[in-house]
Amino acid sequence: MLKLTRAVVAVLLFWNLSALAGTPVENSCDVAPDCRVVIKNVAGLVQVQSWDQNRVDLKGTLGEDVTRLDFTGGNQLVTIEVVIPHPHGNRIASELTISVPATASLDVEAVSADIRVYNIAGEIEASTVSGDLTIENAANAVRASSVSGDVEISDNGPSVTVKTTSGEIEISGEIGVIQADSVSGSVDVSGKSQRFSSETISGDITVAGAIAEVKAKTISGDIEVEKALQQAEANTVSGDIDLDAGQLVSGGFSSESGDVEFDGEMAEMGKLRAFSRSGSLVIRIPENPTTAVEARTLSGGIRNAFGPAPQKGIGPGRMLQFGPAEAVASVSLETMSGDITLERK
Amino acid sequence: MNCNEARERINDYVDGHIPSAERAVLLAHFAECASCREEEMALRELLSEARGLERSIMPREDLWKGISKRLARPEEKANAPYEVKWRVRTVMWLSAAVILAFLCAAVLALMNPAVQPQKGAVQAHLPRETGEAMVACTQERDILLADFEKRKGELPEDVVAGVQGDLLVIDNAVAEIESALEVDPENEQLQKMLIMTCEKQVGLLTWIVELANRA
Repeated sequence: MLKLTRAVVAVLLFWNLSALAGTPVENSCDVAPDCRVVIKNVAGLVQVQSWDQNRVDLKGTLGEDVTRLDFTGGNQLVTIEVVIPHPHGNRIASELTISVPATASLDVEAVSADIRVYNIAGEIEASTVSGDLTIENAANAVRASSVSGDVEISDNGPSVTVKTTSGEIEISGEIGVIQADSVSGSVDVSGKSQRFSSETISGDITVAGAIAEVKAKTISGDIEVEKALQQAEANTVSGDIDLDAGQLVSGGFSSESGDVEFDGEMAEMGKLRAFSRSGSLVIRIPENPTTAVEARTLSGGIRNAFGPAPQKGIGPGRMLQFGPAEAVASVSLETMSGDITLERK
Repeated sequence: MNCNEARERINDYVDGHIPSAERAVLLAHFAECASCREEEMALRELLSEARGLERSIMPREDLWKGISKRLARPEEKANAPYEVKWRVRTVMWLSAAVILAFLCAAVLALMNPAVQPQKGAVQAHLPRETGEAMVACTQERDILLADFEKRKGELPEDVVAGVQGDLLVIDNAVAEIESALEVDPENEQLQKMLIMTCEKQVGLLTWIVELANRA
């Protein structure tokens, strides 16, 4: 009886493992170094890496319910597609590992499959619905999108454009222009860039790096910028804004109910404007005799570490004004009910 | 807010007729209650389909001809008993009333050809350009939302749940901006953010419907 049970278990195990193993696939073709490779896989994994040969090489396994793998084209364009039946069963997850020339450009499309791309110098376009997307050490323009999957990109190219809905976005490297939008996913950018802009609804936006121009908008997320070099604009409705600037040329920060905190230096002709309806404003700048400061609040308080006390202006509220009449740099602060604090850096 | 209270307010919410503060409470309830959320989606779908129906239906051109021809048959008229005559008269008057009603509807439709969308409490206070942009955006969103409801079966369940969650996040954001705009209706930054948020919802729905088409 024991032997029979063991035999049944062994048969079941073998059947199960063979189902999980999938069908191995392998294919390759010669291509031009700057070829375009299009890859479509619904579920599982797509991994693309560069190698030093002018060939596209594919190795992988197909899920049991997959109809077939199409590997077509050559030279300038190669298309690799996992074809599944409609409707399809549960075992469609296929894993593809593809080696391409380093300068090839990629177009990868997936649904629940993860996408991983390593060391590609050509342009990359990648989209997945619920899979995660990782692009490491890219060197050209990257466009990536995901609905709920997370996106992580390191690039040294001219541009990176990413959009997700709930997926989190992480971007690093030395990139010309970065655009990262999401609904509830957070956006986290580090490295160097000429221009970074981001729009989210509830996702936090965090920038840590040498970014010359920052534009960040969110409704309820927080905005934190660790080092903005020249221009920064940050707007939220209920989120907080925390900005650390190097030499600010132009800065505009507004929040309806969130707090705004600025810590930085003003460039010679620098202009800083900050507004919060009910949140507080805290501005930390070094003493500079060429900077004019103006602060107004309707019902909040004003604290000034630079000396002059706030005055009762014409009409309701308090105001504070100091600095030379012919100042070149200016700081303009306004709240309705929030407090304003000016501190020395 | 419980389900009964939420369901009493769903119609007004979908029509954009509830104050922002109450809207936020309702949205918070939707975030926790799948059945109320489904009811809201179903109502939006129904409204969207209703919008696609013809505004009025004209009677067949030969309807009156047929009636008058039958009334004019002398032999039937002369031999008809009183009851039959009474029925004929009733049918005649009813037909006349129906035709009159259609004529009135047609005249009214000519006087007011476009049915203006209902404006929400906040939209009514927005500057014309922003208000118009919001009306256009909301209409586009409603069409896409109905499309999404039809096609969502073609997408993975977790993706649909995620998208529905994000649509609620956006609804909450709209409610938050509208609350802020009630205090400061002239705030251009808020107006831009309101449009941006609505467009985000349109963008998300467009994208998801595209994905469903592709699937």
